[in-house]
Order: sequence, then structure tokens, then C-alpha cells
Amino acid sequence: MGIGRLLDISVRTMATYQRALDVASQNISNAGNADYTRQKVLLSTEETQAGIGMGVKIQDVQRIKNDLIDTQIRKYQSSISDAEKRSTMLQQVESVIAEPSDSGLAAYFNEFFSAWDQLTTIPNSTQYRSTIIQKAQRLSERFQEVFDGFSDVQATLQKEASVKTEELNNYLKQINELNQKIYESEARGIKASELKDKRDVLIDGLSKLTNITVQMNEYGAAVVNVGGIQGADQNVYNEFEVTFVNGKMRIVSKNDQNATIILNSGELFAITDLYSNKIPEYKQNLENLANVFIEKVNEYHMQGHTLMENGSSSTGIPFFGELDTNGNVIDAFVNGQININSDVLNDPKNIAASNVADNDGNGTIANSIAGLADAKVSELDNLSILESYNNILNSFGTEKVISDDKIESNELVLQQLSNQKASYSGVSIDEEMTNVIKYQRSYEAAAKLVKVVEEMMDTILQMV
Amino acid sequence: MRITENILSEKYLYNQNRINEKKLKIQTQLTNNSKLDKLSDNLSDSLDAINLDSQIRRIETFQKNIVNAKDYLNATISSLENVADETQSIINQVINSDNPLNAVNFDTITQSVKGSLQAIVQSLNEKRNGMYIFGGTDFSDSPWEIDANGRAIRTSTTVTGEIKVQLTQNIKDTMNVTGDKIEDTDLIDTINDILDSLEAGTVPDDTLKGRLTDAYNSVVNLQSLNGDKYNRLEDIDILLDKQLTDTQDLLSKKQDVDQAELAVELQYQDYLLQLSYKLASTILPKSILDYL
Repeated sequence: MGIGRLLDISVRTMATYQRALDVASQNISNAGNADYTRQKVLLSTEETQAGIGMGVKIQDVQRIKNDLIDTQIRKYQSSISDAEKRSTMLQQVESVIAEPSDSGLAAYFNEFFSAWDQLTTIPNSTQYRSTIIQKAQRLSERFQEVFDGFSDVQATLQKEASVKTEELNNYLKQINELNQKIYESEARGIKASELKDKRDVLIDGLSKLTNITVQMNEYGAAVVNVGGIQGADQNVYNEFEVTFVNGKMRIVSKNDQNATIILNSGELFAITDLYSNKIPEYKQNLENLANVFIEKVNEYHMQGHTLMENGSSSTGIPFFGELDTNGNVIDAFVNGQININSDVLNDPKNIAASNVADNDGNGTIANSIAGLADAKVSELDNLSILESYNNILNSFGTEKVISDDKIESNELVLQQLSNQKASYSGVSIDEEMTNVIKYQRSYEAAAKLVKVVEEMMDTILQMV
Repeated sequence: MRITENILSEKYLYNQNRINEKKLKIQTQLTNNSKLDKLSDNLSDSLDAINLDSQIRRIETFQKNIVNAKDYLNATISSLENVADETQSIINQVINSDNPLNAVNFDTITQSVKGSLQAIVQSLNEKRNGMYIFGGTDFSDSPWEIDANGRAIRTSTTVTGEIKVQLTQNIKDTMNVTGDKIEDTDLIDTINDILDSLEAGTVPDDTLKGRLTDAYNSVVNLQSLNGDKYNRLEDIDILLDKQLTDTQDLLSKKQDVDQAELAVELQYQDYLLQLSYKLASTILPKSILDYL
């Protein structure tokens, strides 16, 4: 073996460990970057020549990554984002409902029925009649507030859907661009670890918006599928927009309106589900309750007789809404507003408390209306008005509690998975510094070898 | 498992965030003095609280009804007392008319009975809150009047209507004495007949006297029945008071906070937070770098 080969080995070794130190320094400088995937230098022996070792070489610089954990993290992240968005929006609804409190609908219902109950003790009282109107107005206003609250939340959801869809489009566009860059870089034999990290961050962000699947193709491109529709690869990316079909919110491809994203997790799922299903369901339930309430009060009130005016009482006046020319009650409940009959509003004497004509002291009708507080109503599945309202609160509250519980339980799993990911792909400063010392020692040893070769060369030269 | 610096710091932040969340919740509960700020704080307890609050409001309404009913009954008893007093006065006048010495005062006695009858009719036409106490539910006219001959007559008004009031969820009771109950005492007819007799210059016979005594007893009996009813209302009121206290107690257990318990819990969470800071300050900055 010639002395020159010793120099070759030393130089190669020094270069190898210098590169290894580069990788270690890259890792160390990104130790605080949670999105960074650590790189590992794989050293191997240089192929022997004629049975003589040729030193060390870098076989590969690996990006230490576990795709299975990433997939799991995205799945749970998507689920948490769904629950978080749901919980946030439902919290807005919760504050509008304001239960349990003195400003909740339950309290206003109670006050309304209580006012009727009081009228039974002094059935000819105009003062108590005015109280009934006042309580009915407050109940009506509260209903309106709750309804408007629901509508406001829907309007917010609509705006959020547009913003989030735009975000989705941006993610897909950027993923497509990074796919191209990664392909071009690796085709030239240059590792694209940092670009891949950037792409992972985008995919993670995407998973918060919607349910996605990601597969790597032969060109190293991430093929992203968004709820059954192709989102992006290295060649194309899809753009989506918000549309409405029969009042239901859909996220569809701009190129093909029939290509609808089948959402089952992520913020967009929460937004579309709340907008299209949950909020309308709560509104519908409240509307049904209001209609039954109006119908039952009117049923009694129209049978009742008002206070006598000019020697006789009147009958057939609804408490809520107006009578059309056919004698049907109309406009009692419009856009969340319970409308009190104009005759009743203008003159409290038109409140009908008696079930007998010209009988101002009769409070039978008032008693029947007050009894609606506890009466089981067939239209409400044999529940009272207040029980039915409680059922609505229960179904709403359950949704909120489920969302909150889901956040808590999934957060724990996500925390575990993130730890696993960090354990696998994260940078340990202790480990990197140990590597630095190891590489530095090897580098120093190789340099020493050069020195030895130099001395050997000197010895040979002195011999000449 | 490799433990990286990021794992340590993330775990530390996660734990600290959870402690702060708990502290925030306790602080909110302490400030509002309520465990139930919103439905999702505790859905089941919130719904129970709404139900209990409804029950409390219902009980309070029944209690207001009782106040009104008692007021009405008081007015009724007072009117009946006047009627009984005037009837007693008529009984005395009738006894006086039987005394031969008073034969010369027959006209005075008749006028006195007429006056008592007017007072009785006035009492029977008493109003409370604009309602004729004995007028049933038809208030278009007073139930009785004195005709040109000084006799009491019923007007065409119906007096049988009952004013029913809800006293508890299951008890609904009549709070008025209907006019027909007064008629059942035969008081008015008897006094009218006595006046007929006196104006005819005849001393009311024993049958009339007996009818008058019976009528008086019936009025007193009515008074007594209403007194009983008043007492029953008071009993119901006491019962409702107890129900109200029990229900308020239940509601309080559902929503009110135990301030001492929460204060201790807050202190404990604060202690955990400080411990977490201490641990973090000890563990987080350490690495091999400190020893190189």
C-alpha cells in the first residue's frame, strides 16, 4: 500500500466527518423547531480495494420519520379540530340561550304562565292583564333573541366556511408547488428534507380543516385526497368553493360542482354540519315549541270571553297572531318572533279570561292557560311545554358536552402521539452533542493521520 | 423512548395549561358563586336547576294566589259579619215588636228593620278589587237591590259563578261565596216577610221568628265555613313555604358553590403550578452542554 492511499483515506475521513458535523449542526440548530424532522448520517465502510480497506463514507443522510404516527396524528388532529370548532360555535349558542339563569326562556315561560295564574284571583283586573301582555312581550323578545342568536351563528359559520375553504385551496396549491420542487430536487440527487418538512406542516394544517388521505407516489409527491376528491399531487391541485343546495352547505370543486367533499372530520366538517344540520335542527325544535305554545294558548283564548265593553264581552280573539278573512290565525310566529294580537296589545281588556260571555269574574280560561305550564301536550310527545324546552336544551347541551369530552380525550391521545413523534423524529441535544464529540474526535484522528503521513514522507525524503 | 427537549417543554406547557384551565374555572365559579354558569358546565345539574327554578316560581305564584284569595276571603268574612250583626239587630227588633209596650213603636221598628235590610243588602253588594263579593262572576250589576217598597230583591244578574284559584299544582279551590249560597240561607226572603208582617201591623209569628233564627245561624255557619277555608289557606301557605324552602335548598345544592372547598382547591392548583414552575426551571435548561 502506498503512503498516498493513507492520505486518501485521511482526507476522505475528514470530509465524511465534516459532512456528518454539518448534519449534526443542522439538527442542533433546529432543536427548537417542532416541525423539523431530524436527520441521521448513515456511515459505512468504503469498498475495499484488493482486500485493503479504503476508509469511511456517508452512505445516506436519512430523514427519521414514522409515517404511521403522522397518519394517526393527522386523524386525531382532524377530530380535535372538528370538536374544537363545534365547541366554540356551540359556546356562542350557549351564551345566547343563557340557561340556567333568570334570562333564559324557561324563566320567561314561567313568568308568562304565572301572570295568567294571577289573573284567576282577580279575573276582572286590567292591571293583571297588562302584566300578561308585558310578560308575553318579554317572552317574545327572548324568543327573538335566541332565534337571532342562532341566525348570527349561522352567518358566522357561512363566513368561516369561505375563509376555511380559501385556506384549503392555499394549502393544496402550496402542496402542489412543494411536490414539484421536491421532485425536481431529488431528481438532481439533492435531498429535499427541508422541503418535505414544509410539506408536512402544510399537510398537518390541511388535516385540521378536513378529512384527508395522503399517499406518496413514485415521484416522491404527496397525493392528497380531500374527502374523496383529489386535492393535489405534483401535477395539479384542485380548488374548492362553498355552495348551498336546499339550504345545506356544501364544499365542492370549482371545476365540477357535482364533486362534493364528503366531510367527516376537521373544522370544515364542524362548520358545514352545524350550519346545515345542527343549528337548523335547534331552530326547528324551538319553532315547533313556539307554534305548539301559540296554538295551545290561542285554542283556549279564542274560546274565552273578554272583559265587558259597552255592556258585552267579545270572543274569538286569538292571543297571538291576527285573524285572516277566513277566521284563521296568521302571522303568530314570523322569523322567530312571536306576535301578540294587535287588539290584545292595544287594549288589555281584550284578554279573554272567562269561559262564559259577559262574566268578568270568571277566570276559567285564564286558569286553563296557566295550566299549560304543566299540561302534557300530545303534539310535544306528551310532554309539557317546559319539559319539551328542557329536551331541546338537553339535545343541544349533549352536543356541546360530547364536543368538550372529545377534545379532552383526543387531546390526551394526541399528546401521546406527538410525544411518540417527537421521540422518533425530534432532535435530542444530548444525542447530537455526543455525535458532535464523536465526529470531532474522528476528524481529529484523521487529521493526526495526515500528520503521521507527513512525517513518514519527511522520513522518506531524508532517506533520498 | 428518546426524550427530546421538545417533549419536555411540550409536556410542561400542556400540564401548565391544564392547571391554569382548572384555576380559571374555579375563579369563575367563585366570582359567580355558581357551579352552573352555562349548560355544559354540568348538563344534568343545569337541567335539574331549570326544573327546580320553575318549581320555585310556581310555588311563589301559588303563594301570591293565596294572598289574593285570603284577602278576598277576609272581605267575605267581614261582609258576612256585618250581615250577621244586622240580622241579630233584626232579631232584637222582632223580639221588641212582640212586646205589647212597643205597639206604639211599630213603625219605628219597621223602619229599623228596613234600615238593617238596607245595610245587609249593602254588605251583600260589597266589592273587592271591583268584584261583587257575593255576585258570582257576573259583575255587570249589583246582585241585590232595595225596591220601592223597601224590600230586598235579586237583580237579574246571575250569582252562581265560582271564582276558582289554583292553590297548589293539584289543588284548585273556589274562593268566593256565591250569591245562591246567601239565597239558600233564606235570609232575604225571611226579612222581606217580616217587613210584610210588620207593615201589616202584625207581630211576626213564631214560624217567621224560627226562619229568621235559622237564617241567622246559616249566615254564621257560612262565616264559620269561610273562616275554616281561610285557615286551610294558611295551612296550604305554610306547606308551600316548606316546599319553597326545600326546593330552594335543592337548587342551592345544585348550583351554589362551596366557597371554602373551592378556595382550598384553588390553593392546591396554585401549589401545583408553582411546583411545575420549579420543576421546569430545574429540568428544562439542563443538557450535556452544561457539562462540556
